Amino acid sequence: MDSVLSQIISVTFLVTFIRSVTPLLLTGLGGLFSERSGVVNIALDGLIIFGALAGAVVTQVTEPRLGALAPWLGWVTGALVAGFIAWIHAVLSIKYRADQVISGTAINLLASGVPSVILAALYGTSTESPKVNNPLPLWGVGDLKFSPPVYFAALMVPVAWYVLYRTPYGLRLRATGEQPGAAASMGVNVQRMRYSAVILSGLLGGTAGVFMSIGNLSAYTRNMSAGMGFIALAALIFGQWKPLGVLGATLLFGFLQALSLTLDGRDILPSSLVTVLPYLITILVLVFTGRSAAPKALGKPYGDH
Amino acid sequence: MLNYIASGIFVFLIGSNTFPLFGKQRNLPFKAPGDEAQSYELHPGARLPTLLQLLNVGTPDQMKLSLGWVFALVAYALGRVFLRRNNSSLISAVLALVVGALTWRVGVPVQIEGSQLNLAFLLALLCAALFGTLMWRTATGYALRAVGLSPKAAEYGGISVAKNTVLAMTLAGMFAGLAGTHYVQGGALDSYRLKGNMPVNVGFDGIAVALMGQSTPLGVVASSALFGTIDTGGVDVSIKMTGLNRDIVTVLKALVVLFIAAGGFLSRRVTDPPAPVLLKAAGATGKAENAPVVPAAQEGAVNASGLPNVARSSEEKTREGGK
Repeated sequence: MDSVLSQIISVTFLVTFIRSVTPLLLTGLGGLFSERSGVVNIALDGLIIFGALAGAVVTQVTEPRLGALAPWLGWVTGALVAGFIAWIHAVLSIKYRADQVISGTAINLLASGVPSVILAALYGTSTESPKVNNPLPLWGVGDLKFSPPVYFAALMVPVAWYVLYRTPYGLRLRATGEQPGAAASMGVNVQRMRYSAVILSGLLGGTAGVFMSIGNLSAYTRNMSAGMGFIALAALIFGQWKPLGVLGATLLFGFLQALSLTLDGRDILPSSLVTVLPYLITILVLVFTGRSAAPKALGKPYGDH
Repeated sequence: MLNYIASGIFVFLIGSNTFPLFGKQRNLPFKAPGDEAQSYELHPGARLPTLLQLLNVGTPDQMKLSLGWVFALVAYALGRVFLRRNNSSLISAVLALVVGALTWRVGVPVQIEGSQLNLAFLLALLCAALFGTLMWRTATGYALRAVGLSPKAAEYGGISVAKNTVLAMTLAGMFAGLAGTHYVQGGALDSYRLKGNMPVNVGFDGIAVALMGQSTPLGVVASSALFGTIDTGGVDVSIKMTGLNRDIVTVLKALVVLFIAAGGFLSRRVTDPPAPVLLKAAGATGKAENAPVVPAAQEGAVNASGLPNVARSSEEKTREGGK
């Protein structure tokens, strides 16, 4: 048991931990914007997948010409593609007043089909893209080296807090999620606020995907999100729809994931059950948190088209 | 999230026969010998019969498909049409049962290759009927629907929201769990056992099917028939056409759901063109869609002429009107 403890208090574990937290944090913050504006975004998981796929494919295609610049282009494209998919979700749930859970489910369904079709068309295999030679660079000192999205995620927490609580945009966004009618009467364009928030969640979710495909690994593999989007949603609820709360919740869930990765392959518990732990504890945690702090207008379409 | 937990337990149970526990190796009895992750084959008595076996009234070599159920259905329909009494449905049901039992031995010889269509199909139809009865013919169903429509009103009406939510989830789990019988007891995966390649996407498709069926039993049966056709067609097509990726089927299903979720995505001007009178009135101000409140007399005229009720809806389009 001592060896396990010493393994947890180590640099390797810290690196694993931070790498597990990053996509959760980015996705959770994305979900934060969307849900604070009143749009349920269950499509986060799909957004991660689209971001990861676009990032990997664009990097792989532009690599010969752009070299080390390619992953950066991949990052931008991944974020934009996920933003575009989020825009579809926004159009459905804002303009056409679709049930937001259903439209999100449709996006997730799309994310489980489209990547294989694209991969099959480009590379002839439907499970993974070829490895890129230039993944995102690693920045840092000594053993603590991370790809840029990690720093980006850390930066996004104060930025999200500042935007939400200290800017007119944030005030309008929160008002839109709480009382769209009141916001509209004060001259806020509710629809436009919601569009921007959902697209923002796509950009952030896509960045999380890009981190997973060309930051953490160097290729897109099928089902690489592994329910990350849903865990991020759980973190959002557990964090009571607040940036710092989301940070705390993702730190907890990320720790559990890193723990399961570290315990995996050791003979304490069967590895198949260890991988279950993060999900199981996430559910248990959710049992003890209510939806009390949810934005009041969450999930309700506003106005007519 | 539960599906990841389920898959973890799944792998734990049938992935390997030994597992480490705090440094010791323990044994599990589930995995069948061999490389593949699968359980032992079910005892023949625990298998669901296929529909062919069920309806076969000849010998196993000389298949004769029973026609009793056709006669029973016809008898039921006739009973419903011609009996003009209060309890006609009960009488025709009894009539159908009697006719079905009497004509059960009547069969036509058929030559069908083995198919995995099994009793689970009838089970599913039965569940749809059960669901319909429960939701629209019992007090429990009324409570469930009330909670779904308006939790607050239900609470004030003395219906416990928490209790009914738990009940709804339990029922949902029971129905979904029955889907497993098709794959394991029904042998739809070519052998009567738990295997690693359970089609887990069926669960997600189920959400879409329920949506398309608008959560009514008949609608769900119809939309699941559509999704089943798309799925089976996808398998067929991917076998016959090498250039086609099998997952195009998933994309197709996703698009179906997307467009259904969007409802009428065509502009109102296409599906419900405004009346000429309105267009003329709006000509002075701009677009018909943004026309200001139409004078009451004109609105009456439009409605009286039997044209679509556009005047009212354009009034609702203003921000306060839409609330």
